[in-house]
Amino acid sequence: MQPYLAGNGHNLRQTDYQLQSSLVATIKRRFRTYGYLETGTSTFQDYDMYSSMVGTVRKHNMIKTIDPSGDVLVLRPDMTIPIARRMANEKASYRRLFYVQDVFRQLKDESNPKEFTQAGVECFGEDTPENDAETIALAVHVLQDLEFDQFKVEIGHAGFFKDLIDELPLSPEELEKLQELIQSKNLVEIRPFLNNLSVEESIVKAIETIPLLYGKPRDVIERAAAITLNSKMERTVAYLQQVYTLLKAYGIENCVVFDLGLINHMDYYSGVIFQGYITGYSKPVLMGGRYNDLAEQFGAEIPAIGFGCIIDHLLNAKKEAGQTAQTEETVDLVIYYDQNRSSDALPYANQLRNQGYQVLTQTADSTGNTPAKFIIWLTDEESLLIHRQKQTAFQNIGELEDLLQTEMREN
Amino acid sequence: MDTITLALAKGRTAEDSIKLLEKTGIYFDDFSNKSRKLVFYDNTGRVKLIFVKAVDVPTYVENGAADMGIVGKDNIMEAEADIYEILDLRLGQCKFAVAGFNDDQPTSGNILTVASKYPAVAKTHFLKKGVPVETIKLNGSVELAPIIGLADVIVDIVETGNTIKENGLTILEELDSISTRLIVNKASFTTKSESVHAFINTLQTGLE
Repeated sequence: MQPYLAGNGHNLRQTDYQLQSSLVATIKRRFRTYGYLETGTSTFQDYDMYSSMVGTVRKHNMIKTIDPSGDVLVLRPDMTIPIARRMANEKASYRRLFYVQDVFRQLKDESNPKEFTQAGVECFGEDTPENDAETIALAVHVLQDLEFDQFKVEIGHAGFFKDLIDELPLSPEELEKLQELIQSKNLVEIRPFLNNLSVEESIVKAIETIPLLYGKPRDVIERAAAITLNSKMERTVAYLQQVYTLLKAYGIENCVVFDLGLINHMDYYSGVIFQGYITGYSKPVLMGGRYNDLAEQFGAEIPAIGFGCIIDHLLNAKKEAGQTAQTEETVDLVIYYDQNRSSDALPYANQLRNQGYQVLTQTADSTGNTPAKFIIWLTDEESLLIHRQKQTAFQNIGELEDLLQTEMREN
Repeated sequence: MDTITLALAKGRTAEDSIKLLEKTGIYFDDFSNKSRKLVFYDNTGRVKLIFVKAVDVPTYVENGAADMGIVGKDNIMEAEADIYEILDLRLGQCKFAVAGFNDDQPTSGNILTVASKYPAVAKTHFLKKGVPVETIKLNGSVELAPIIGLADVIVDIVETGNTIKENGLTILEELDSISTRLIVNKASFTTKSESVHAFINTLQTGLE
């Protein structure tokens, strides 16, 4: 046997594919009920496009390939950017799109998987608190559909922090360090760091509070209102209040927490951002937010919001919660037939398949032994249907179909 | 409330942390220094303590094998883990430092070699200064490296500076201060918020 290096892809077991496809089917069904249409993007994307865009995927996280003409391509590192670009190219302004495709990223450890299946939505053309609340409600709805007992969607706002530090003359390196400190809720080091840069006391106080703006929405809004330093921040707080009121109307206020210290490394987010966690699973299973300025980089102005679920994480969370797919290891029917009855057996099989039964055909002398709900014997002497040790003879396909239907009804 | 798993670095940090926890009313009666057990529960059964190697604490917490951890900033920096770093327990205070022979700057054209138990920290520090370096990972007796000629300088944690001096080296540069921190898994912070926040608050009161 060829020893084959595994571990860089999805690394799924056979039965995981059944579970994955049932998750994907559930998610797709839910996306459609909110009026989303399926879309997709090419696996190969232009490296120059990604590397020239600010605040997207980091260069070293992309997986590059070179085409025969020497151009560098990357394996699709994200879905949102190519979809937004197409929107701009086609001069479309309103669309609701969903996708289920693989994205490829090289993470810091070589042995980490490089391939993730992502299922997500992008809603273009609306920019209202109603639209934000609906998108968050959809995320919650998906997690409910997947029957996770306990989960939380954490909601933040990219603008709140940006407006606060707008007033500070920070170098890109200092800004990155500050974001890092806030992202890790590192209260210990924020103050000394800002004092070193001789930042005004009122701003230091406000920034220091950001990591603590976490918890029940009403509470967070109240505390955030107390540290606003300009009218932009006041507007953001009022906006979040509106979103919260709508989330209550959706009846999902218990599934969400607010965290204004939430900063996504994807810098294109401009408004509400959110991520979903499942109790007992250590990584976020879905992430998203509003990105009104992204299409601008392609010369169009289209407000948008979206999120993506990482199917691999959902799958692992399912397995860790002990929920696995009911894998069908039995088929509906196996037809065993003598060689000279093949002109009956094969058309029978086809007719039954057309009606949706799973059917296997085997010659009577074969050694195959597939578990089946019904077994049919077609021999020189007779035609028999066997079900739960009960044998019933039949003459033709019509009788067989009737028998099957009766048996199915009785069970 | 949910049980929370707390990863502790074996050794002195563990003893100091347990003393701190006892001050806040969380007792581990069956814990003793000599025990070789690696898992303990507190008297209320709400906190499960696991003992792991210090360098592994951020890994356990990042991957959710532990909800929280108590570990030195040195190990957090080296692990570059994606976690919340909530509290400074003000234990084990020391500093990262670059040490070497005073006059022995590498001649131009030679890349500076740095030996350290913390190659990631060393690399990040010199990268920020724009100095290209080669790092050599060592697991102990780092001071030996410049003496033997394995490296030009070392990056290590320094408390008193005695070890450095006794080996004829000098501190060339002082870097970040280090102390013991409470780190929290990001998912646990959200999904087990009630018990995690209660624990953080108790610990915070204990510190004051």
